[in-house]
Amino acid sequence: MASCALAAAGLLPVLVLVGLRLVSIPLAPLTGAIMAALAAAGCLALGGSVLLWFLGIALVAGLSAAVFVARYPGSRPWVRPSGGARPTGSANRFHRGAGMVGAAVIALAVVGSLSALRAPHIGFDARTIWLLHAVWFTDGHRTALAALSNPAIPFAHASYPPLIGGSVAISWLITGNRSDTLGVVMIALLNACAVSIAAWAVVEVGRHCGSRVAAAHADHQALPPRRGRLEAPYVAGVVVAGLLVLVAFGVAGPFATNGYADLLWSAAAVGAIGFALVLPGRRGDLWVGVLLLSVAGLTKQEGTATAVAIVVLITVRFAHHEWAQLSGVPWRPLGFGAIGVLALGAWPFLMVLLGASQNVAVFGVRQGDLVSRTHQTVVAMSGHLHVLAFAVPIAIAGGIALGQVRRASGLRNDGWAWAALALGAFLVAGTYITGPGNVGFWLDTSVHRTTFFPAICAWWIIGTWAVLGTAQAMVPRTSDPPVEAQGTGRPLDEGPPPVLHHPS
Amino acid sequence: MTDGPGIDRTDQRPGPHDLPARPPAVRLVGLAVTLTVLVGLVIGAVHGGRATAGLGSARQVSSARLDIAYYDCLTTQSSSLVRPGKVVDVSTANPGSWATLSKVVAPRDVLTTDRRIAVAVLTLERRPGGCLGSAVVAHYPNGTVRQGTGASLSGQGPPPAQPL
Repeated sequence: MASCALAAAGLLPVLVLVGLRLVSIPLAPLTGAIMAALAAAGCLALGGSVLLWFLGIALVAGLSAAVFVARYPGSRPWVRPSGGARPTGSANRFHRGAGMVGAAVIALAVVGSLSALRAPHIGFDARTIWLLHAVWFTDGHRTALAALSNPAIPFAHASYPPLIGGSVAISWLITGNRSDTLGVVMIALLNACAVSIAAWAVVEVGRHCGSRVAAAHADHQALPPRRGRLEAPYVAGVVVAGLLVLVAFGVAGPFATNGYADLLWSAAAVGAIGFALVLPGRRGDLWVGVLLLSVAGLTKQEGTATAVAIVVLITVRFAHHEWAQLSGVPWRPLGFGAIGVLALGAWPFLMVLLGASQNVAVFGVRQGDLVSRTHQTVVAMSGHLHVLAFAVPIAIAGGIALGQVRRASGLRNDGWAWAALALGAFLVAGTYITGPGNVGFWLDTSVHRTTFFPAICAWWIIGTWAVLGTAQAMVPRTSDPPVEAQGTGRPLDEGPPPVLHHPS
Repeated sequence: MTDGPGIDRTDQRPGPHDLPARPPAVRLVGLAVTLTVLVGLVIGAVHGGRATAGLGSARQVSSARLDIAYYDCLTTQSSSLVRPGKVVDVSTANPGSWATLSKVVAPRDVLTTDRRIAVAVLTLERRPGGCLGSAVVAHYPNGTVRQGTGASLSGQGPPPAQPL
C-alpha cells in the first residue's frame, strides 16, 4: 500500500516525461520517492507536516502533467514520437516480445531476490540512520530541525539526503503502521525498483541492437537471415538483464534487504549511465536518466557526488556534439548541466544553511599519511572489485572486436560508462584518503558497500558487450556479397523506414 | 540545425553499410566476448542467488525475529522509565551498550550529552529479568535508580551482531 502511494504520486509525471513504457512501472515509485524527499526538505526547512507537503507536491506535479498533456497533445503518453528506431513487422514482434519477456524475467529475478525479506533483518545503519530520519520527518519540523544539529547523535548522519527518510515517513503516515519492518521493506522495494531499471537498460540495448540488425537485414534482402540472427540481440538483452538483477543483489548481499540505501543510489546511478550516457539519447531515455540521477543524488552523499559527476559527463557528451555541429557555444546542454549540478547541490546547501551537524563518517584525529591511507584504500577497495579484473579485458576485447558493431548500433562508446565508474570510485577513494580518523576501521565498516556502484557498473558494461556480440549481423562480413543497391534500411514488411533523427 | 544528440534527437551514426566489412576471425572474437561474459554473469548470478537464498533461510528468519524482539523488549523497558520526547543521556561507559541503547532511545527521546538537562541517564546493564540478560536502567538526578519493566526476553547475551 505504501509503495502504491508513492507509485500513484509519481505515475502521471513519469508517463508524461518518459511515456507509456514498461520502464515507467518501476520508475513511478522512485519518482514518488523523489517527491517524498522534496516533502521532507520542505517540512524541515519551512515547517508543516511531511504528509501535507507530499500530497501538495504530488497534486501540483500531477496537475502540471495533466495541463501539459492537455496543452501539447503530442506529449500524451500513448502518442508515440514520430521517430526512433522502432521496427515493424516480424522485427516489431521481437521488439514487443522482448519488452514483455524482459519485464517478466526481471520481475521474476527481483521477486526471487526479495525472498530474503522473509528474514526481517533491520541493519545497523537502518536503525541508526535511515529509520531514525524517518522518525524525525514523521514527528515534524521541530523534531527534525532539532535533530539536525544535535551533537549527541553523531552516528545518525543527520545531513544525509532525505529520500529514504521521507519515503519511509510517508509510508508510515499513510498506512498508520509505524514499524521498523515496514520501513525496511519500503527501502528494499525502492532498491528493487532501481535494480530493475538498471537491468531494463540492458533490455533496451538488446531491443535497440535488434532493430538495427533488422534494418541491416532489410538492406540485404537478397540474403535470408540465418536462423536466430534477428532474435539474438533481443534474447541476449533479456537474458543479461535477468542475470544482472541476480548479480546486483548478490553484490549487495544482506544490504539489499536490511534497510541500507547503498544499493539504491548505486543501481540508480548505473541505470542513469545506461539511459543517458550509453543509449542513443531519446527524450524519454534522458528523462529516465534525470529521474534516476535525482534518486541517486537524494539518497546518500556518495550518491550526490557520483550523480554530479555523471551530470558533468552527460553535459560534456551533448555539449561536445553540439559544439561539433554548430561551431558555437553549446548553451543548451551547458545550461541543463548547470541546472542539474545546482539542483543536486541544493540539499547540501540547505544543510549548511540550517546549521546541520557535520557529517562525521569516522571519529577521531586523522591517522596515517597520504601514502599509507592511499595504500590501505586501494587494497581494501580492490578486495571488493574483483569484477574489474574480468571486465577490463572484456571491454578491451569488445572494443577491438565489436567496436564497429557498437558504432553501427548507435550506442555510445562504453568509455562514457567507464569514465562514470572511475569518477565514482575516485570520489569514494579520495574521501577515504583525505578524510579523518582511522582509515582502516572506516574501510572495514564501509568499503564493501561504497564499492557497490563500481562493481554493478562494471557488470552492466560487460553485459552490454555481451548483447553487442549477438548483434554482429548488422555489420557485413568480408564473405558477404557486395550490396548491389544500398537499401533504405526498410524493415522486413516494407513498412516505413526507421527514422533515427527527428527534428527538435 | 544540429543533427547531434539532444533532448529530441538521437546521435548521428554511420549506417551499417557505411562501415567496412569485418573478417570472420573478428566476428569469432566478438562471439567469444559474448560467451565469456555470459559465463561470468551466470557464475555471478548463481553466487548472488545462493547468497540471497541463504539470507531467507529458517535460521536467518529466527535470528532476525530474535533481533526484533530484543529491540522491542528494550524499547518497552525504556518507555517504562522515561516518557517519550524527554531529554535523556545514554551512558558512554560501555561503547557497545551505548550503541545498542542509542538505537532504542534516539527514535523516541531527545538524546543529549549534557547530563544537567537530562531527566535520566540510561544504561544497559546485565541483570536478571531483562532482555536476553540485559536490562535498561535509569539513573535519575535525585539519585534514584530504576530498572525497566514491562517486557523481558529469556536467554543470555545479545542477538547475533548485524553486519555493518
